[in-house]
Amino acid sequence: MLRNTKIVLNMSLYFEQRLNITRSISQASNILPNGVVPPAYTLTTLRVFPSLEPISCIPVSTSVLGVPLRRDILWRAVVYENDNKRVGASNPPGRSENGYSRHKILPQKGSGNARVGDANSPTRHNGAVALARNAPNDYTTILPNKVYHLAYRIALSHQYKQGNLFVIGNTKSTKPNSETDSNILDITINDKKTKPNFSSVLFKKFLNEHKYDGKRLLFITSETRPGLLKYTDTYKNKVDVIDKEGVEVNDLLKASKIFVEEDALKYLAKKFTALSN
Amino acid sequence: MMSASMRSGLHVMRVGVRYQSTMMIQNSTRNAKILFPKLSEISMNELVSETKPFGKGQYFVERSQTGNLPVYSDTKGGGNKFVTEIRRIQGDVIQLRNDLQEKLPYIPKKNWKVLTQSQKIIIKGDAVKQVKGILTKTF
Repeated sequence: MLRNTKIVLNMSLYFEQRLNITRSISQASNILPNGVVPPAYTLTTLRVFPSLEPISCIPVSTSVLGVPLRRDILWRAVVYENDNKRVGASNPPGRSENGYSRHKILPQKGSGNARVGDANSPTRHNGAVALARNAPNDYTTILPNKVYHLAYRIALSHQYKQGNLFVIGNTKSTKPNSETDSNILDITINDKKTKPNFSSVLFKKFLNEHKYDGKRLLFITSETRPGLLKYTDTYKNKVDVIDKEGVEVNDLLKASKIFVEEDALKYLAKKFTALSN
Repeated sequence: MMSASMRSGLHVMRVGVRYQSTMMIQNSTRNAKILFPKLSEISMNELVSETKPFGKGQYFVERSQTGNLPVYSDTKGGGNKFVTEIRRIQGDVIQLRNDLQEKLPYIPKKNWKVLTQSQKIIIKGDAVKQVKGILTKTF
């Protein structure tokens, strides 16, 4: 048993060394002069909500926020998601269900017209549907997990490159300047009838200040935020508040600005790089 | 008979050990540590720079998880046509093709093909050993 664990440890060390090889370069030989190790990290600003004031920076792996754009992969992921969203509730009638009689409309010969069967034929006006089906119809398609994960990282990276991704968090626990600012995507619920009630106008102020009015916003939270849900309710046509587990590639691509909590970003990064090298 | 069964038994054992070790690394070190390091743990030249962006005229070939070079052979057209495929190329694929063509002048230029969307180089004919021989000196 002891010997076995020793072997495992040795093997793990060996593989760790091999893993380091996967991203290295030897400059000694001048065989391929343009071979360069690409940057491994990108610096992301951490901000507070709702002022979006920058507080600090964290390095994030380029495998999460620096993936080159592949429109074909994004397309496959979007089609996959939309296929799987379909309910498939249609019940178009077939020949046997269409309702007309089985009676032959014209005699087989002698009319001078083309041959005709009954009125349920799919070629006729008000005829049946040629490929009839009954609900529930299954339209789900499959996509390899590796491809879907890549699409997710491409979508995140693309929005990040466009400057549309805002990470909310605070590693150094620096105090934000304003009292209303917080390190999470939440607004404290104030149910008292006092006037002025700052909580209820905070989100409107946020939209006005950053000129986000009418834009599609996506908030990715690490856990359910009742305050944010409550005060964004009036804007729910344009503002999506989703827990980190429920966000899809469609959501990422449709949003014009994305606000993600640091913990949620870490969760997504870990989940969607699990299968990649 | 005897030796054959022993051999297969050994083989099974080896696979088990290897699988365990790779799993361990994947779960412990890789994800948690490398994706979000502390600012103090990384150096300046590991960061994306605005002034010297990686891409135009530069390339990188990433090795596989087991440390092998991503150069593969394949047969097309019912096994009639042999092709060599270079995958996992980051950056400028055209530049890498040009540099490889310079090192392998005996492969006719018309045998080279670049798939720009999926970042691959396809060479007609078997050139796996030659390409690996060149790539292994740099990557």
